[in-house]
Amino acid sequence: MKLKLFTLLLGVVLLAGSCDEQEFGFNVSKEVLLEIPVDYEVDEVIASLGLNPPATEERLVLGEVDAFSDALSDAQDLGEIVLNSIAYEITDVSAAEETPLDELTISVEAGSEIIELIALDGSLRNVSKTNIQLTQAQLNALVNELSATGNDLNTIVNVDFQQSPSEDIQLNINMFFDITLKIRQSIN
Amino acid sequence: MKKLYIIIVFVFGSFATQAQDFDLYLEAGASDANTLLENYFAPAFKGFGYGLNGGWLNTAKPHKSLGFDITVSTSLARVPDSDLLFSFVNSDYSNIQLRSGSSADLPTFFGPRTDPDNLPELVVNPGTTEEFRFTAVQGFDIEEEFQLNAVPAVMGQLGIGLFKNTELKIRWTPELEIDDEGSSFKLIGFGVLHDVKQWIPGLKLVPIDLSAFVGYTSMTTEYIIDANPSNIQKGVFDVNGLVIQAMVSKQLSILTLYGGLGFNSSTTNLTLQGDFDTGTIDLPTDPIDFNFSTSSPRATIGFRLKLAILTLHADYTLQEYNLITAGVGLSVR
Repeated sequence: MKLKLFTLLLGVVLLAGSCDEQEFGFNVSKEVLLEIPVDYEVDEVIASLGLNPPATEERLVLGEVDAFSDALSDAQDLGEIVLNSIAYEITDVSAAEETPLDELTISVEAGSEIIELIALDGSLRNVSKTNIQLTQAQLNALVNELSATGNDLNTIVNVDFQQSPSEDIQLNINMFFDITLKIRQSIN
Repeated sequence: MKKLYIIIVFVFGSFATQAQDFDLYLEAGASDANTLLENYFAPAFKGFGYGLNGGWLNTAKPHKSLGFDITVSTSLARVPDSDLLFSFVNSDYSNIQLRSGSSADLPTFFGPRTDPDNLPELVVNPGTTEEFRFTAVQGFDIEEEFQLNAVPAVMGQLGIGLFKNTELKIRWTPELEIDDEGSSFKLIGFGVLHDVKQWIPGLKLVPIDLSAFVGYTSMTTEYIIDANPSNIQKGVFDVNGLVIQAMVSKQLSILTLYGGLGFNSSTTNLTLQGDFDTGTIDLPTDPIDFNFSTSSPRATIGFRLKLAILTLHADYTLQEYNLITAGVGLSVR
């Protein structure tokens, strides 16, 4: 997302001469892509013993969401930011890597709440772009979290295989944030 | 990047009250931006073209030789309801598409100030990494603001009686500098009113005046957006109007009733000249070039009061954009 775009969005202009206070505005939306690479390293001992490996939990910062940072830096007095939806897809899983899962989850911390975005069971596999079902309250909590944390999301990635994969696994989880910036300006 | 709204203000300075940032349109490329903005602003430019052709006449009787008048008129060209919306059709655009459907009626500059949440969304650069959406631009609901959907134009002119019941009308200003950056305004127009009754046998005794008129007006405004010598950015607004009209009038003491039938046309051109950068896409040099043409038959009816050398007049013209004109002048002979 080019920084320029949201800079331009904020150009609601006030001109003199209007009689009454009126509200003008427009909405601008963009689907922002965030790529989360996941690397799972095989524990050779567990693999050799054929044991059920323990769940791997990794806490990471879901990269800076530029669209939010651009918008938030300027838009607070002009409008409102709405997170319309979040979708995800999983790519780069080869046939050899389709290992049975206990579960694979990605959650984010929004204030005191932990919101589960992705919960995958069955086998690890590629997933085409799929909407994540979240309530409006959860979406609002994510916007608030982004606002409060300077646009980063503290994220918990949990990978739990039923049995240890034979090789290290690298996959990509792509997340799509559909964001609307609602510019509203009262004009006198 | 300097904002396009400056141009909008510059063009509509006297009555525009607010403007949005139309840079977003440029993100879709110059061609689509031109099409979209042209549709959005069409009523304003057409109205101005019609207004420019107003105020030429308030009698069919030319001045006697060396008689003259100085007259100032204000015209309001009413935007018809049919021009409050324009039809957006996907096939007219390369890089902008409706998010839903293939066509939709969107507000023009004079159209309704619909809540953005209720306006159709347009997708810019669909299917690319630069894709984004924005709601169609609201109208400014000029009627709610000013109680009349109309485009104003003010004209001043000089009429001089020549010979054979012929009068020359002149509209002219020197090139005026309107700011320190070198922005300028100039206007020139000529008209000829000629008594045709004198050439028609038998009509000379009829107690009315009957004349033919042709008038041409040209107005150019240059607004310097950025005077940087390496990249002078400016907006140029150029309007030309032509009126051809038969006029009839009857003087009753201080009151003159007049009417006319004719034809008028105008061309309006707005260009944004220079190199502009949206930060996302490359725009061609001189990215905006709007052209509007109007032509319409016209029928005028009005009256003039003459109190010594002071004249007051008002008339109404039926045409595509109906025109109300009122003016005041000084008239001798």
